[in-house]
Amino acid sequence: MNIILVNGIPDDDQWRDHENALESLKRELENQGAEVAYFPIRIMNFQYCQGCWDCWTKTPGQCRIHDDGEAYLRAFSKADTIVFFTPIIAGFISSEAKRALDRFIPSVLPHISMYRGESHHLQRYPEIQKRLGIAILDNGNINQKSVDIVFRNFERVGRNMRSDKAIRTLFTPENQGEVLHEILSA
Amino acid sequence: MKYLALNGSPRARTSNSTRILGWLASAESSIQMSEIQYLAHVKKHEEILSAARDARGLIFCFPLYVDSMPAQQKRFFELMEREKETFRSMPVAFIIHSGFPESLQSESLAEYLEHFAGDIMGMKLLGVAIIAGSEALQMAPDEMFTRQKVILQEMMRYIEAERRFPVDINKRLNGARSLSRTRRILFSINPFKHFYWHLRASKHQHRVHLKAQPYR
Repeated sequence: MNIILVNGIPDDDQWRDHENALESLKRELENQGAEVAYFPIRIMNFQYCQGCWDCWTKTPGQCRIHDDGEAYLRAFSKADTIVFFTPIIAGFISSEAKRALDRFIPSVLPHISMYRGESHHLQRYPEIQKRLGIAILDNGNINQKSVDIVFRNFERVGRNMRSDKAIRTLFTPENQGEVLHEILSA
Repeated sequence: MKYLALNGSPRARTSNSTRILGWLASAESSIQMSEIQYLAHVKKHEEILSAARDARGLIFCFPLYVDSMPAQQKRFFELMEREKETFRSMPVAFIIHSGFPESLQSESLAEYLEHFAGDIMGMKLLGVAIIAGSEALQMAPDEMFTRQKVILQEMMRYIEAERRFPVDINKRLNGARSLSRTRRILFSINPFKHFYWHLRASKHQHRVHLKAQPYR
């Protein structure tokens, strides 16, 4: 398996145990033979998408920003599973996780075709069917409506990635075994 | 006191959001709108937040971006959430637009914005207006968007009165939420549907292969 783990955790001590558990999960996935690309967005040089569309019409597939997003796009081209780990902040995924999500844009084509009755972008690397995952950090005090909204929103993102398989889960420092199992059960 | 116009597009000044906010600013209304504040400039967020605190209300405009709002816009929401009490009961309206021809693609974002403004912030939500097919704004004159422009300008009266937008606003702006079977077929066989992207690519000095796979 070829897995991308996006760490969208902001700089906030309340999530330290979750972050340690995520790093432990990464090591365990590697021990199980998976190839894992890990992107802790907060501490990386990972700028915001500028919406220039150079990645579609000037240097297709490549972002004009030369930062850690380059390694991210390279990993995306061969990944079969992408999982975002994020707390709920202001009712949605963190801006760190969203920053990473936005930087996927070079990985789709500007071209649109009909998919499941709706217009969606074509994938730049359609050879590998992707599985998109969202793991919401659970500290026992999360707003269920926010969780439902994020899960529904990721159904939309998955549809835009033409990904039929999905991972939707909560993540605590105690349930990494279950999340590991879910990620490995393709 | 003015309404603060907040543009959440990563393209900032050159964005379709700037143009749409211009439509609102040109509406006949007693509402005073501020100069547009560009959230793409994240280093200015604290300064913009300070202006937001003093505003009579907020009008956000931004594109659908990977199925929700641009990350810069999300970051600003996070700053607002830290001072909920400041924004409680403040009127807020959202105009979101998307290049996709179906308005249903923006409904998940609209659902989140209602949750954010109402449940999380306790603000006075005036409405979420959706404009589909906005990528055409890059090439088309305003005349092609007269209907949307007039309807949005009407919404200024609702903002002025701090009333909820009418429930059918998105139907009026976009017609059906999704494409009919006939339109889907026409869309599929339209040989010019990618013309805009090829046109943009042709403006560069070098030959561009739009379907390149640089990391294969």
